[in-house]
Amino acid sequence: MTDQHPSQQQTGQLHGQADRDRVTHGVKRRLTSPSWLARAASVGLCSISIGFLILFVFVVETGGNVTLFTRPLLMQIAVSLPAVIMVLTAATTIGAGIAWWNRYWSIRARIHQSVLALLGLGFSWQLTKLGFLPL
Amino acid sequence: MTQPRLSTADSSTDRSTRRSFLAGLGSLALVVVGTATGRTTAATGAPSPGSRPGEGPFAAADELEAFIDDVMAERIGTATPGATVAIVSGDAPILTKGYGAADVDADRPVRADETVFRVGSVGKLVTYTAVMKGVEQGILDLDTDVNSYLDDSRVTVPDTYDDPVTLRHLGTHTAGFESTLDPDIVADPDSLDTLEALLTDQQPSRIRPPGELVGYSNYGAALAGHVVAEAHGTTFEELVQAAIFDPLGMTHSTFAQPVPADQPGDLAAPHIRDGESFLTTDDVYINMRPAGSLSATATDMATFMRAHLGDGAVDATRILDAETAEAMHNRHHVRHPAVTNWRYGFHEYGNPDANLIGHSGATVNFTSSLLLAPDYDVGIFVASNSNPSELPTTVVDEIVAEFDLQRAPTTPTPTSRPGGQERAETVAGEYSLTYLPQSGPLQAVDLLEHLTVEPAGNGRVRTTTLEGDARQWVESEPYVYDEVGGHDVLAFEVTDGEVDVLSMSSEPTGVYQPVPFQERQFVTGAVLGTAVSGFGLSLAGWGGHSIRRTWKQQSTDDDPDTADAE
Repeated sequence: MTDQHPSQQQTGQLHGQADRDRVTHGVKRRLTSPSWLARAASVGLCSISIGFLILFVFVVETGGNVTLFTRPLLMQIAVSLPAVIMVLTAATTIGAGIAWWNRYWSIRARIHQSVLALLGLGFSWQLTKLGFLPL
Repeated sequence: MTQPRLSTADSSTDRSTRRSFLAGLGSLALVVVGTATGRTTAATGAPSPGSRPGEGPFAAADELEAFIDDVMAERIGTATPGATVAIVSGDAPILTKGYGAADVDADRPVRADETVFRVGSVGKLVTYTAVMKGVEQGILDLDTDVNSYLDDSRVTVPDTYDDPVTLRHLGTHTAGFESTLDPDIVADPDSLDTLEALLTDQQPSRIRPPGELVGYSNYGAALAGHVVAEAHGTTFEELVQAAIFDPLGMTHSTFAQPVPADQPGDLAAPHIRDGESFLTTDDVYINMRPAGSLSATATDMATFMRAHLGDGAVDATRILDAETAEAMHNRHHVRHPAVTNWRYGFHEYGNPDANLIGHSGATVNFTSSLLLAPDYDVGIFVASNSNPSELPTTVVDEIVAEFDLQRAPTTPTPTSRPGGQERAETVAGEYSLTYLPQSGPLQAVDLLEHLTVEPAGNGRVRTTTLEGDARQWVESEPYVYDEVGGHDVLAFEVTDGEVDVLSMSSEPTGVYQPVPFQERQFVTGAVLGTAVSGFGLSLAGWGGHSIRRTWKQQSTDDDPDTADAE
């Protein structure tokens, strides 16, 4: 009986292994899924862009305009975000193209992704014009 | 952090903190802002009897001191913890006085003859005085390529344009270097570089042909200091000490950073505001030393002003020949005949006809202003150990107004030349300042400082800025507009119906140039606003969708019927 029925500890280990496998599989599936990556890029673009604005304004408001010169850590973080925004804009734009090409998502979702890509391009263009992106 | 800026107590006095920051920047031995330069408006009042040139406006020293005491009493403890003032008239200082605290922690009072203030870009005047001394000695020439003095230095100005950069360009901020506003401020004195290394490693691009447009440049001032030191085969600090400080007995003045421990006097502590009080804070250091690392007492600055008002001499001590001093005080660059222009190192202030010359300065937590009225033999210096929006310049302005150092503005008389409305429409547009950075994150400052010009009917124009500075102007002669209610002047240079340059009298440290459509504030605001709105709505939509889905899932899990079915 003992041989035929795993102990409670063994059962727990099996379940833990199964959970880990499931998570690993899920991560792998998502990281190789263009649709998931495209959506992640657009979510990241929206979040980082707004985060950049909030952080930049916060630092200038709390530390004064002189933070543009003295560059405290938070300002250094803020001025590093436009490069991330540019990468996420590129990913969002590519994701929108792939979505239309492969016809995944609904039409509405594809249009939304495309609009976000355009907004990202506009945002990045202005960040460039304002000197945050060294192009 | 600044720009030279002298403003005054008229309608334009309180134009925003950002502008004064820029003024500070420019003259900062920071900006800039402001700042970089400065808006020089002018305080005015009705001329009083006995204030004609040569008679001395400060006949009653007691009245002057009482007035200054009142002016400072309004500000000490509110705008700044401490300040120092020097006023000279004729060949003598008639008031040198400290106000408030040099250090709030140590409860140390400001003493005019002992308390040393960081004076920022006012120190450029010492640098340019040293240049003129070199010219007088025949060691330097204002119109020779500065590279010819840099044979033994790694610093070389590239030949981007046919015309070389000269000391005249450096003394009038017309060399055409791209502005960075930042004179390379560092928090750690160990991070200070040699002037040679700094000027080599941080050389800005040449973006304009030399001699054409004013664009305030800390780099240019630092380069001038390096050139004069190289020509004398010494360091900048040693040269200034030997050529200016020692002869004049300015024993409490130094460009050295940190101020040496054996330097006479006590350095005032920098302060920041903390609610209703002030806290001492760490000082910063200016890498471009000739552009803004000078520390000095009010008494020493009084001596420096006396030297300039005394045609290069104080009592029997002469640092410049009279001809050299006169040459330094003459115009060296004309932006437009109707506005303030550049002497050598000094810019004109207030009414262009008033013959007021000066410079303002700031570091991160010090501000200062120096003004000379040669027609009255008067010099005014004010410094504070914090960085309020406009303390030194407003104090100077109030003195100028109270003692009638320039005439009151007159009501603008419209030009009789027809076509005023067409000209107003020609000059309408958006303009940006040359002294603001064209690259890096500080480029955003340029956008915020754009000036918008619109026709206002009857040949008038209206100018506005984002910070809410709205003014009306009357065309007094074609393409020259006088401010209504003030004495500021706008002067446009127009070729074939297109504006090339706009000069504003109160902004001597730069000129305005038209902004292309795609770089206008409206375009930037619309694109950024739309993008951020879209991003925010998307995040809200995704969040709402996720919450709704989670709620539905929970509702399904909690449904008894569903549970029974399971």
